[in-house]
Amino acid sequence: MKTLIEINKLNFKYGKQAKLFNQLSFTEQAGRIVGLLGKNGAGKSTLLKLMSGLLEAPKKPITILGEPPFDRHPRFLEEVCLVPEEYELPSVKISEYVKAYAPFYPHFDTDKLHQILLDFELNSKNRLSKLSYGQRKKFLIAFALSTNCKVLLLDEPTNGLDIPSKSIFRKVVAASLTDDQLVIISTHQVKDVENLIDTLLILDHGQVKLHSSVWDIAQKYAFNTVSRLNDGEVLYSETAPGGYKVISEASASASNIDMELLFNAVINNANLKL
Amino acid sequence: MKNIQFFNLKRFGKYAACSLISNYRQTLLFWGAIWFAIFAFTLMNIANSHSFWNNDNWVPLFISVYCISGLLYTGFAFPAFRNKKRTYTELMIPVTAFERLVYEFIEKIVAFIILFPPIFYLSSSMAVGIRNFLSFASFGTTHVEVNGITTFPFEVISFDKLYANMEPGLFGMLFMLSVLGFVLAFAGAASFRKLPLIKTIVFVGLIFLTGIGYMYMLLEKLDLHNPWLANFEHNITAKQGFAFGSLIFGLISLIALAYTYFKLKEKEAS
Repeated sequence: MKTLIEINKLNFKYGKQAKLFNQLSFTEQAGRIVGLLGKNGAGKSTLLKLMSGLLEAPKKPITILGEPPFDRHPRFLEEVCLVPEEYELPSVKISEYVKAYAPFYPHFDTDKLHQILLDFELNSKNRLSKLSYGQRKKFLIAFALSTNCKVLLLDEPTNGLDIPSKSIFRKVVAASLTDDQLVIISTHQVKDVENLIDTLLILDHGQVKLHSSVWDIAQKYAFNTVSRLNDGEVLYSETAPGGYKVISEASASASNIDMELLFNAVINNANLKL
Repeated sequence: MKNIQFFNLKRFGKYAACSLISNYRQTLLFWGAIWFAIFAFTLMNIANSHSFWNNDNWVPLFISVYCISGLLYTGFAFPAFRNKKRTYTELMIPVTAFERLVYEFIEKIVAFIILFPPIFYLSSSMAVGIRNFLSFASFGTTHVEVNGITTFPFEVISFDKLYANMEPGLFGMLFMLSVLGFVLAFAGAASFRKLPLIKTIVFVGLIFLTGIGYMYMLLEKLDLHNPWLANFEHNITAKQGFAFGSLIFGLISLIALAYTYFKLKEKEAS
């Protein structure tokens, strides 16, 4: 698979504040849906802004599709789409917005857009300013997926979405991607993307704490709920109703990953080797 | 990804269409407000006037409305950059900074300079028509006769007369001065997110005062008199002076546009 994102020793800070990223490095390939997790203030949104060229990283340590993002070349921007957490859309109808912005994206698929709008129960005659926050977010997600950009960056995409919409979101993202695309989903609501992502990237204190495929994690570790702790086998535990949630070495068969438990284990420096 | 074009006409066309679709309401609102402001202001002025209202009266009104509305319009160029959330969308549009600059320059400066005179003419003529109608209704006539010369008390603006009464070259220099003012406001709009026009006026004012202070110090305090400069007005003709002024204003405008380009190129959305 082609490498789409390369970050090599990224250092970044806002003004005179403390360093947000300290020698942060990772690469990411096409065909993946990456869950970018981290505590509040860990720099998830900033990382997405750096990757999309909205912020400048000193010494150009980031390469997306072979380009430094901050150069913001049109051919780069045709292949990178960002759905920010905070946004403001022009006061036009959905159809007018599509007419205005879709021509910039050479692979834009109008049929796909109509299908996703249908899934999200949005009408293209609706005016964007009249939609609720969640509806506008759904429209932006639908538009981003329809651009068929190589790199899709979604910042907290499930914020503001109701429960059925979260489920539809997972369905449309999974259904509309091809092997030459890469999606990075930044979220602190791990449950929302649990069954969607295939790679986990956890940020903490300016560095990558975990970067692994969900498959590898499931092969190595088991996630269970037990009534009593057996210290010898448990790598990480948390109290839960009726007992404890635990991470232990995997047995013969792979178990479902409890993302929230894994995230807490990584952030609390549990002895996980990935 | 190589061989990136600095300016692509097709892409520029897409951007122009996109901007027009996104901002047409605000643009129509602005021009509607200008139309109404000229109409109301003209009507108020001539309604209280019992004397003639001819081109001598039109000149200050035209120039002041042109400057104020032009500065307001260009001072709020790049409307997406007034708001952090809209900046994200704007910066993610696949266009070059140069294409963005050219579009905004055409929309905010070129279009204003082209559209303002006819809109002023139409709006003020409407006000004059109403005043003349009221005059006719009151006195049964729309014209007066003074010393055997028949004239209308409230004339519409005549751009031919406006231009004809000027010294050769003066119009060009004043035009370039107005362009410079608009371009400076335009550059400020690219640099400042909040209150761009006020900040630009303060910033340019400070630079201007510093320049004046520096020149005063050189010429008066340090007594660095240059004979040619001391007799400046005798050494060049008025036409040469106007041409020199036009050149200087044009050059500063170009520098300000280059500055605007680099501000757009390095624009961040933090």
